[in-house]
Amino acid sequence: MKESAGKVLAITRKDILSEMRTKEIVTSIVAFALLVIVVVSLALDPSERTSAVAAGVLWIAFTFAGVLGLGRSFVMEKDKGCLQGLMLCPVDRAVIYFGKMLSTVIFMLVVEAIILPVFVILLDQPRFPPHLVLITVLATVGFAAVGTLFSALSVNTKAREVMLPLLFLPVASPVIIAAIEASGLALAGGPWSEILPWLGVMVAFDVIFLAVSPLVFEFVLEE
Amino acid sequence: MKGTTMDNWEYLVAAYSIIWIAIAGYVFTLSRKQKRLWREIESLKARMRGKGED
Amino acid sequence: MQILKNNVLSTNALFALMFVTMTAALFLVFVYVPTEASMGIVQRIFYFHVPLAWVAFIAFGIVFIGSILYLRSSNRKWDRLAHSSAEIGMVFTSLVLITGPIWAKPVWGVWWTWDARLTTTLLLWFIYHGYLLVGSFASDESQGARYSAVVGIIGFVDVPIVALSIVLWGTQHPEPVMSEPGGLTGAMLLTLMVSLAAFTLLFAYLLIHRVSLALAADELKRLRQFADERDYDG
Repeated sequence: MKESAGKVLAITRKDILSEMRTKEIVTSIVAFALLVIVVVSLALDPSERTSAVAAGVLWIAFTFAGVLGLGRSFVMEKDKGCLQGLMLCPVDRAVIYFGKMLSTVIFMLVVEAIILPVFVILLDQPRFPPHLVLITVLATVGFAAVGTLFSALSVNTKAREVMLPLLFLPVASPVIIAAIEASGLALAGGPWSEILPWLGVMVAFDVIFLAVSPLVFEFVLEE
Repeated sequence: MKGTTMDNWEYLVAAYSIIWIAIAGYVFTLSRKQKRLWREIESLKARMRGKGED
Repeated sequence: MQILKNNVLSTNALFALMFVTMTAALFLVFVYVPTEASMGIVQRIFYFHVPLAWVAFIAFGIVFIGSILYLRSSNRKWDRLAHSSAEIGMVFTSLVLITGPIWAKPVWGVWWTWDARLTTTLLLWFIYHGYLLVGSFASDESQGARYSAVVGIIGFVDVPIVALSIVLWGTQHPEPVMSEPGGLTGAMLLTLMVSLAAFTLLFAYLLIHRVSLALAADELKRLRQFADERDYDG
């Protein structure tokens, strides 16, 4: 158990070290997420920037940025031939899954930490509720839990750029709905008790898919 | 909500027509696949027979 | 050949049973059942709309089971079962999504309502669209079968969470609900049940044919390869 955890962290560390050298994933996704916020805001009248709408804008940006980041996660491995190496490693497939998932979560959280304050300013929100941090973490774990699986799967198919969003978005819809609703309530100054059911949905999603995805992951990497 | 019963029968007809047209269409694609399969079987049989006579 | 004959006989019996039940269902829906008071004649769509949705759900359950069995055994027939079931389930789900708006328009004046059941059905449609897409976009057949099975399992596990989140969402944004007529009377319940039986039989009939077609195509492919090799050797 302890040994597996060490191997998981080794894979995550490898990803983070290579990212720290190039910084290409985080910088490009931050720019992309900002652009999504700008483009969607252009469609909004200033009077429409209510907390509910702002929450929608935020999660549209995070969702599409997430799809982009998830896609990169295995495309880079594959293009550099690292996927073959990773598969030759004498480790359980679940270890590779958790390693990649963890690095995806970390990259996305870095991106989201940069975007969140900018979003609050650009959409002129009255407050920055601390609830947003918890909502973002839970949603990001959920995205990565199914996203890592689908990313590994679509990288081996034809038309992989199209495959990932078509698989990922409908399956992740409960997290998207819960994150939008919870963020809307939080931005409007709602109490914890109102937000709680949505946090529950996200926790359920995270737990279920962190349990099921590693079970089927080995069939995705099998050659 | 409309309480009368005669004003929206065309929606009912549309819904049922679409259901049966779609199911008939699906059955049609299945039968076409089956026909293609039969043709292939026949051609394979002919090939085997030709081989056997040599 | 004997197996083929038995199969034909049993599907003929199934077809006869399906035909009788479907005719009975049509009679009950159009002639027998009383018109629902508040929605009018259009409410009769309900007797086909709801069974289609239920049977589609059963179809996706079969996709789930077939996917698990395929990953456990690598036996191609389970993939064929799951794939066939998904295909028919998609036909039925599409029909649910088409008949829903046709029902909603005259009753609530809107084509689409983001009602919990319709919205969940729409997301189901997208999930199984992904399932069918993965199979056709894979680089080879066994990879396609493995990948679809993974999507078939993840997709079905997702269904209750999707439904939960949409129901919770619906209670906060009330929309006209595609309500089943309040308190089904005996006649309405009977009609619904007969129609449900008819569509279940139709599904079973289509599924048996679709699976045997897929298996026959596999067999033919194998034989053709065999013949090619023999010709090459000779």
